[in-house]
Amino acid sequence: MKIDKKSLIMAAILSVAALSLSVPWVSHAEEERHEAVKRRSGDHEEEGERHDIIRAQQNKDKNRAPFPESALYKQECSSCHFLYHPGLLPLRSWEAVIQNSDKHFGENLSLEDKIKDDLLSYFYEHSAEKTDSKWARRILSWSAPSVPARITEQPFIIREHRKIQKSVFKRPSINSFSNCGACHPKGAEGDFDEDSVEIPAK
Amino acid sequence: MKRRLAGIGAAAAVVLGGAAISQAATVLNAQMQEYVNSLLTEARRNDPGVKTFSAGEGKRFFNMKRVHSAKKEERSCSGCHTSNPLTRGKTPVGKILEPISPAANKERFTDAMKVEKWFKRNCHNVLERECTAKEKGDFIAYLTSL
Ligand code: HEC
Ligand code: HEC
Ligand code: HEC
Repeated sequence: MKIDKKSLIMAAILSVAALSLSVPWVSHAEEERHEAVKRRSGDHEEEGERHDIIRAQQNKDKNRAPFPESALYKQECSSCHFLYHPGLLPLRSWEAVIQNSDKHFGENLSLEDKIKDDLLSYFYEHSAEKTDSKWARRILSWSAPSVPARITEQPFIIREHRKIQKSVFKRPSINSFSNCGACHPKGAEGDFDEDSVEIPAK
Repeated sequence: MKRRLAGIGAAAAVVLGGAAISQAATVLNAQMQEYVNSLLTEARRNDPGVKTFSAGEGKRFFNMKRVHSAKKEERSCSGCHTSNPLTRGKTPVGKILEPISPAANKERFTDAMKVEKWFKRNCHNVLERECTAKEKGDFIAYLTSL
């Protein structure tokens, strides 16, 4: 292929022109987009703030899940420890708790078959999968696909408490990480929100 | 205080022949009387030398400490129920327990099924075996004597 001098020079001129044009051209477009966004948020700043407050309130409500009452669950499962909200574990974990109830952290719960069945139906209705709150959704998505044996071994729960020193859990009025109610006075109502947490000093 | 408790305990340790326990402080209801009678029958079957249940023995049993073979920690009935049965206790997981003595908590020793259920659990927890009929009878004699 033969290329003459003229067309070579033309090509050079054209490409330089394109280059010099293209850079400011692109950045200008971007600037314009930024401006547009700034303008939009500026126009609706007040409205946006109002929305933020409403959204925060909604999120908070969604972060609470009322405790699904059950006389049987309370009778069988709250003598030795805090009555754990059924949304604190996935169904597969509750099934394992019931299945292994003759070797429950060193205790033999000696549950009759009828009681096991009734407790399982309760967990089937109210486990984390069926609990409408942010904490339950996080427990689920962070734990998949393992079968946690404890609430306190789940990654989301561990992360939320990572700043608390081990010695704090040993304070006489707390005793154990598993004693949720000591620091979450509204925990029995499914409210573990930051603003309702109170760590006892002793 | 200790001496007074022991005194009352000794006084209540008197148990009539085959009949139910009669104590200074707490009168057991019909189902519990029946339960205690069956414990006494069983205790005598195990050891013909057994005449009565003893609040003094029950007190000793209540406070006896034993090292758990697997957990290597000291355990006792008083570990959770505290050495003063008239006060509230607490489990290792931090759950508060109402006083174990009926003198401070009327609901205690009124439901034989419940009592038997918790003997089973707690005796395994502390002794790694079931309690004998004598141990159960003495335990009840002590706590109903306060
Ligand atoms: C006889 C006493 C006793 C009873 C009754 C009992 N538990 Fe437990 N449970 C324990 C002990 C002890 C632990 C271990 C706590 C620890 O390690 O600090 C435990 C731990 C748990 C945990 C894990 C807590 C954590 O740290 O995340 C769950 C969940 C649980 N129990 C559920 C149940 C359910 C459901 C029932 C009723 C079927 C029940 N428990 C009844 C003694 C009991
Ligand atoms: C020693 C006190 C203490 C104990 C015991 C404790 N927590 Fe917490 N928990 C906290 C504190 C403090 C936070 C807030 C962490 C933060 O936001 O920085 C928290 C946060 C949480 C959150 C996140 C709340 C949210 O909506 O973001 C959940 C869920 C929770 N705890 C559940 C539990 C459960 C279940 C137990 C018992 C198994 C438990 N906690 C035991 C102190 C405690
Ligand atoms: C690990 C803690 C723990 C230890 C140790 C313990 N208990 Fe208990 N005890 C409990 C709990 C929990 C209950 C049931 C909740 C309640 O009724 O307060 C209970 C209840 C009982 C009851 C039921 C009484 C009634 O009528 O309500 C009896 C009987 C009993 N315990 C006997 C014993 C004996 C005997 C020992 C020692 C061999 C013992 N306990 C040691 C935790 C314990």
